[in-house]
Formats: sequence, structure tokens, C-alpha cells
Amino acid sequence: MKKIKKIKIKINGKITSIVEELTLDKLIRNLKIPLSKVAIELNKEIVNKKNINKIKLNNKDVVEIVHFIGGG
Amino acid sequence: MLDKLKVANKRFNSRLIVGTGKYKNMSECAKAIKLSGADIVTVAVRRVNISDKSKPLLMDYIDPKKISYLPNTSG
Repeated sequence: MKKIKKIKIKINGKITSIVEELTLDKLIRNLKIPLSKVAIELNKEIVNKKNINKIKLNNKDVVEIVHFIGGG
Repeated sequence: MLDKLKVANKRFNSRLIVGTGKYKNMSECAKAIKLSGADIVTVAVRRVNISDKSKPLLMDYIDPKKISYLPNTSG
């Protein structure tokens, strides 16, 4: 049986352990976050949601998930 | 009067820009924006709370397809 490798990434400042080869869209789905209502940044760069299913997460990646709230 | 505000190929009927903070609740905010006739609203950007996603979202009340969001990065 193939052993599932885990990697560590930072999501909104919190270090989280995830399985290797996980794509960004799967991570968002696992977190149950509505993709259409958030903006995502990966390693200081804004992610184009069209390519989100092609982006594989790597060890030590920094993910920021933001949304809009009243104020500003 | 044909004096529309044009920003980056986007046309706005109203030049009024209103805020979305300090309202009692989201529905009051949405109602006030609708009545003001503004096409642009200012919003704040915050991290999504991963552990608690039960809070109502601004996008559920103010349709970003109809009203443009102007994010204020400072807070």
C-alpha cells in the first residue's frame, strides 16, 4: 500500500497539514468555502480561479483566503 | 443629462460612492444602498474565518454584478 505523504502549508496564518498532490480547488472545497465569494492568494500572488484546479499545493505554501465585509 | 462616470471601460450612472460599514445589519445596509442609487460601494477585505463560516456574507446581500465593490485595503 502506498503511504500517503503529508505536507505543511499555511492557510490564513495557520499551519495546516494536508495530503500531498492536493489541488487548490480541492482544498477550498474541503474547507467548505464558497469559491465564488472569496479571493485567493497563493505565495503573495492572486490566483486566477480559472486555473484553480490545475494548481497543486507544495510544502510551505502560503495561502490567504479573503472576502469582503461591510466597512472600508 | 449624459454625464456618465467612466472608469476602465465601466460606466456608472451614479457618481455617489457609499460605505457598507456601521449598519445595524446587512439587510439595512443593502436597502440603504439601493435607495441611495449608488453604483459603487466601499468594502473592507478580511481573512475568511476557516473555523466559523456561519456569518452572513456581504455578497449575499449586495450583488457584485450590479454594484461595483471598491475595496479599501487599509481596513
